[in-house]
Amino acid sequence: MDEAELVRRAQGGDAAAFGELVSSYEARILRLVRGMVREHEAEDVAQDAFLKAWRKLPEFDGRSRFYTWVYRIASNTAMDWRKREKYRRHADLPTGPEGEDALAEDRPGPRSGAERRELAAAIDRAIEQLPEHYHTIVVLREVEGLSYEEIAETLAISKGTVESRLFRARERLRESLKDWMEP
Amino acid sequence: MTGPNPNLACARSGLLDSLRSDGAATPDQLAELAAHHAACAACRGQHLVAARVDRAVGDRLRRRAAGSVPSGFAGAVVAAAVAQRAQALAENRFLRRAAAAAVLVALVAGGSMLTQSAAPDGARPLGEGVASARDAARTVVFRPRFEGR
Repeated sequence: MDEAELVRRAQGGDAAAFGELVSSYEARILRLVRGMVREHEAEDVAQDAFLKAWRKLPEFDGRSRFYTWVYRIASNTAMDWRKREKYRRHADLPTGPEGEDALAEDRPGPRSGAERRELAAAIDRAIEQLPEHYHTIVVLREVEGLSYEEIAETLAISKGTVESRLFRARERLRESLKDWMEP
Repeated sequence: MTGPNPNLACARSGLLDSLRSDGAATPDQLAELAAHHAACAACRGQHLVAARVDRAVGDRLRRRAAGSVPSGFAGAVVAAAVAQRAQALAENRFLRRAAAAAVLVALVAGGSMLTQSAAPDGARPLGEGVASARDAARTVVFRPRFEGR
C-alpha cells in the first residue's frame, strides 16, 4: 500500500494504517528529536509528536509532503518541550565517550580524553544556548541533512530565512567555540 | 568614486561561507568568496575556524541523534492513539448528554413557569418543577455513565 493510501486510511481513523506510517518515520523523527532534547526525553517527545499528528491528520490536506508535515509537528513539539521544561536552565546533556571520537580531529595535535570530554560539553552548551528557531534549523540541516528548500517547507518559512538563520546560528556557535578551535 | 567596501565584503563572506559549507553557494558566489579570501587574511583565518566548528558541531549532533528505535515504539504509539480516541469519544458522549440535559432543564422549567402562571392559587410551587427538571437531567447525564462501567 502506498503512503498516500495509508494517509487516507489513517485520516479515516484506521489505527493500523497510522501504525504503518509511524513505523516508516519513527527512526527519522527520533533522530530529529534526539538532536533537540535530552536523550532520556526523546522517546516521550517523539511519541507526543506522533500523537499530535494522529489528532491533526484530518487537517492534513496533502499540499505539503507527509514527511515534512510530520517533521514540522515533531520540531514544534520538541521546541515546545524545551520551552516548557526550561531546558536551558537544566542542560546537562550526556558527554560520555560516545561523542569523543568525532571530536579528536577538530584541532591539530592530540587531545586527551578529558580534553575531548570538555570540548563535547562545550559544544553541547553552545548548541543549547542557541535560540529555539536557530537550534531547530541547525538540527534539520546537520542531523537530517535537509536541503534549504526542504527546511523551508518543513518550517513554513522562506528559503532566504533559512539561509540567514543558519548563518546567524553558525556565527553564534563559532563565537562560543572559537577558543577551542583556533590553531 | 567609490571603491569596494572591505567591511561589507567581510560580512558577506561569512554568509557565503555558510552557503558554501552546505553546498548551496552558486559558482558566482564561490568565486566571490575565493577572491575575498585571497585578499583578506582575517577572513581566511576565520574560514578555517568556521570549518572546524561546523564539523565539530555536526559530528556532535549526529552522535547525539544516533541510536536505535526502541522495540515496540510504533505499537506503543498506536495503543496510545487508540486510547486517546476512546477517551475523546467518551468525553463527546458526556458533552452531548450534558447538552441534552440542559435543554431538558430549560423545557421543564419553562413548562413549570407557564403552568404556574396559568394555575389558580394553591397550585404546585415553582420550585418543585425545577427540582424535577434537575432530577431528570441527572438521570440523563450521570446514569448512563455509571451504568456503562
